[in-house]
Amino acid sequence: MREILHIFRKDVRRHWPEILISLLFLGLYVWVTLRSPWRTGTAMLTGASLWPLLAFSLEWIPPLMVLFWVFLTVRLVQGEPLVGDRQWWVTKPYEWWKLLAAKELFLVAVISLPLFFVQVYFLSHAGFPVLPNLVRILYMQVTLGLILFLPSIALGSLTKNLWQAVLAVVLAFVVIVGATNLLQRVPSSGMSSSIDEAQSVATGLLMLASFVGAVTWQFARRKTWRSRGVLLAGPVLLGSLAALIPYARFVERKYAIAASALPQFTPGIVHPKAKKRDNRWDFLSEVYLSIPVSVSGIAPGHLVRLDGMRVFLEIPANPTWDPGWKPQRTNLWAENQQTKLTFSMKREDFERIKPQQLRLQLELALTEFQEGDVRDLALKEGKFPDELLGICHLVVQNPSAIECERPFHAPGLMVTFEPSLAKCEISEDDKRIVESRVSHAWLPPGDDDSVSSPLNPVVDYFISLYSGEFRWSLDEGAQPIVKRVYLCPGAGVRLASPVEKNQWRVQLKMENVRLEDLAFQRD
Amino acid sequence: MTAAIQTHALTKHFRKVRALDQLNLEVPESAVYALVGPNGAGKTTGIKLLMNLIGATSGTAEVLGMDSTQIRGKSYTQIGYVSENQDIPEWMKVGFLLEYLRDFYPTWDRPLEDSLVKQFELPRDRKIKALSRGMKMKLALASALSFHPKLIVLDEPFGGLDPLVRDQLIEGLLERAEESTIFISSHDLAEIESFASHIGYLEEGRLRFSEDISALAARFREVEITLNTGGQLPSPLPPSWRQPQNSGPVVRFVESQFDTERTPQEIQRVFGETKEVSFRPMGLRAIFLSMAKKKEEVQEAS
Repeated sequence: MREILHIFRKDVRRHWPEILISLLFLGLYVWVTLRSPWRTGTAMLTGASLWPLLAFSLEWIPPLMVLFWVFLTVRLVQGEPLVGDRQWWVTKPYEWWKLLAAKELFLVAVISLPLFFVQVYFLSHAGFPVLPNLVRILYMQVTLGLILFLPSIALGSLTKNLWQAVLAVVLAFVVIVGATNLLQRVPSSGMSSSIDEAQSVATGLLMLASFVGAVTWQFARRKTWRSRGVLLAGPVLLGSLAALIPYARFVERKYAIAASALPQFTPGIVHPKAKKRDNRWDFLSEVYLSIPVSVSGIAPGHLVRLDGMRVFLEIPANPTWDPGWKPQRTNLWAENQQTKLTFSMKREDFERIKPQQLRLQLELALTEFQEGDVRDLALKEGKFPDELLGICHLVVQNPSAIECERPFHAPGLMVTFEPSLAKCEISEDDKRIVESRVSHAWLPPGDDDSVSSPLNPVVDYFISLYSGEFRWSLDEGAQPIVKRVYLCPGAGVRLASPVEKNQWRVQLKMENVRLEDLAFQRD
Repeated sequence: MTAAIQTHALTKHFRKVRALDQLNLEVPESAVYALVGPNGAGKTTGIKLLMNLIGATSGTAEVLGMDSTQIRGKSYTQIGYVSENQDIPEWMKVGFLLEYLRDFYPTWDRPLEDSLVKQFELPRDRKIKALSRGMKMKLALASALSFHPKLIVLDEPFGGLDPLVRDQLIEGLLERAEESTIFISSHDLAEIESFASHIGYLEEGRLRFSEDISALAARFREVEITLNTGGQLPSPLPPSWRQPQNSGPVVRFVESQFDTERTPQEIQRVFGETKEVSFRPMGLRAIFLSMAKKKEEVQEAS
């Protein structure tokens, strides 16, 4: 321990300017977070209206702070460089694990510990108890260590100097973008969420093992190329596996096909009207098409979420057009009677087949949720606490939303608002059209142990109510249909926790469809 | 006498370049061993292999009885390593560096540190960045000597230093010679001649010879023979006779296996009766020049 402290003291002496800058960033982060107008719903940032540039630049404080931590970690590790054969310290009696421990101690003392106090302060300032949440804060710290400091230590230990580290980051960025681009071409890869959770955990563990292995190997043996190989082995293996995974099979396994339309939900394709040609979007390499679908039979208190869609186009004298499963995020409530499902295709394919009469087949992957633990919540003036939601208030600028703060993550929620039961008056100056239909808000259920941000334990989230009406249209001349839900103090909303009930697949067919009638075009 | 350093067919390739080829070396304990050779001979590569700074392509080495590939961490409490190629931490001050290193060595001798600092005239409160190259080498040496290492390894420590600094370093080094084995590499014969006890000559990655320096000096002699009559040199001459020349009745050559009994007998066998024979001891420089010339002759002949 004595040697660890000895190296630590040396590092503190060397990096004191960086330590001060890190603390300054942390101070600014606290200031920005507590005064952010987006956070509080009121423009509390002093002078924000006078100095919008300042307000904008303050938005960059958190990412800059994180970037500075990466820089500091790399500099710290490269204080005793592990790459090359000219290092002074290599022929000194350092023990590798003590050196690594000293670096970790520095990161804990200089970054994690001050951040921990800030996190405790954030919780306390927001009005949440600290003690019951301490373990979760430590979990946040571990998460930050794994996603930020471990890769930064790996970067510092596998590169010779700062420039090499920057080059490595740029190279990694290019490779990741390229690999992501390639993986997106794998059919149905957008539905990777349908893969079992156990496999996701295995993926995380493999990445962790490659980083820990590379760092340990490099500190213990200074075999740079082998350590780099260990580091790359994880992502390369995962990338190769990701390209080989039969995503469609996973989707089909997770969403069993329904023998017949379920009583809770009956979808049907509505034959589109013939439309005039619109060439405004011809510059795009992709053509966006939408299929109107009628919906019925969703029971009150239920939600059907469209998770994915697969489109088959049977074209005369051509092979079937099938781009695989594509993710969708459409929520259907009992009140919804129609929706539009969107997909895209390459313009050259579209131009080739658009006038032809086709047979269209849709396959939809659906999840049904049911309300659980239903209760009514009366909205109040100002801030009001709620056991499930956290501490909430109505948003002045957006009457359709409730803004809440809660420790660690937003809860899964099904929210229903019936305007006819509320007596919300709108000021005469307000030109908005009031939505009179039943509106809903949906927050997907998540892992109770998860944390939304590794920096701030207080999560700021919105419950935005809307009636399911489309809010915008690409059609020229079409007025956006935006009817605003109007919430007010005293109004009641129905709160429920979503309980997953069923997952299944349905197939829909339509004959004699022309693609040009499905494209976003003027009526 | 046990060996402080021993290598067995130690080989290092850098891609297609054979930097070190089958090095078999033995450095006795308490010796001051000088590994000499021209630039690019493989001296630094050999030292880096011994210090486990790089890995060998094949072969093994033992340093202070340890497998060299296991040298790391605490092993360095017994080894003082100084190299002109090391990146000394320039942000530190002289005093802070020594103070920092102190804690890592159980045998660190504070009075010795003070005396070395004084002897080398090191300014404790100056940043290393601001030191001259010679001062940096003196600092490196002071830090390598202050803990009474069993083995001191110096890689080209005197390169480019002025004679005064060089003498100071040698003086500091020799004061420690009794308690340590010193292994030093250099391409300058003159600077090691005065204090090395053993010498090894490395050329193109191969160890041409390795022996006690006094034995080396004893077996090399410049021989001058005055014959009764002039004429052609007889052939063949003994292989240990290098660069034979004749000018009238005078024959000169370098005897590389000089023996007070055998050499005169061989001269008599080759030349018969002679007027006069003289044997002059040679300096290291002359010995190495003679060896280099011998090599050139072999190359030309082939």
